[in-house]
Amino acid sequence: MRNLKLKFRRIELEMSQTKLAEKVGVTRQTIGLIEAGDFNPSLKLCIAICKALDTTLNDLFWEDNENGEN
Amino acid sequence: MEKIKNNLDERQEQTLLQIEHNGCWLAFWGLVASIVVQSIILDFDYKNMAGEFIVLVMLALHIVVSCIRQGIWDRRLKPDISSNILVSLTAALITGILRFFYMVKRFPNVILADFAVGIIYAAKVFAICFVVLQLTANLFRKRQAKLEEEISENDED
Repeated sequence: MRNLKLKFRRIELEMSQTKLAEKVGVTRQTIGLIEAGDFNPSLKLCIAICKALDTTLNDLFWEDNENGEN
Repeated sequence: MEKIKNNLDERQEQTLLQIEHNGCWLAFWGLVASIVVQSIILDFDYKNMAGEFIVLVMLALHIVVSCIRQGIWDRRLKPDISSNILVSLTAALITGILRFFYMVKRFPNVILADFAVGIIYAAKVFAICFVVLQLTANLFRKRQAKLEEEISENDED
């Protein structure tokens, strides 16, 4: 399941995947895979991403509809 | 000594662990295959297979001891008598068949005797496997109970 919330928030802040990856200490590929829904990050990484994007876990990682993408 | 920095992020670490996991089982079953093939070709000349045998036993012991220490048994099988019987029977069947064919190769004129040797060999393997599995299952249960106890104690703190 693709994480569009993460992608939109990153674009909103005009931040590239590379920049976000640098901020949270992972590779750009990992950020790409999280956005594509192909990798489930740990809670620790989720929190680091939220802090880097100045948002909360609820905003980025909570699904609020049954089959919708988050 | 200062620990060398890990260059991998958590996804790469998971991928590397998966690669190492596959490599470990490839080595394990490769050694088993190597021992089986050498047994047939070299007529169970244990001196020539000692190296492979030692590495296989060390690898198996490492996996078993580490799993029991962590309170892990198996993904699918349970540590009960029926599962242990099933695993022991499978091991007995495979080794019995291999022994039978080896005996047929060496003594082709006495098929019944070869068959009897295969059966005796299988029975021996079954007994050893079953006893070892029951003992390790018992150890596993004790370890799991201890780990549960430790977690309960920590929760109370």
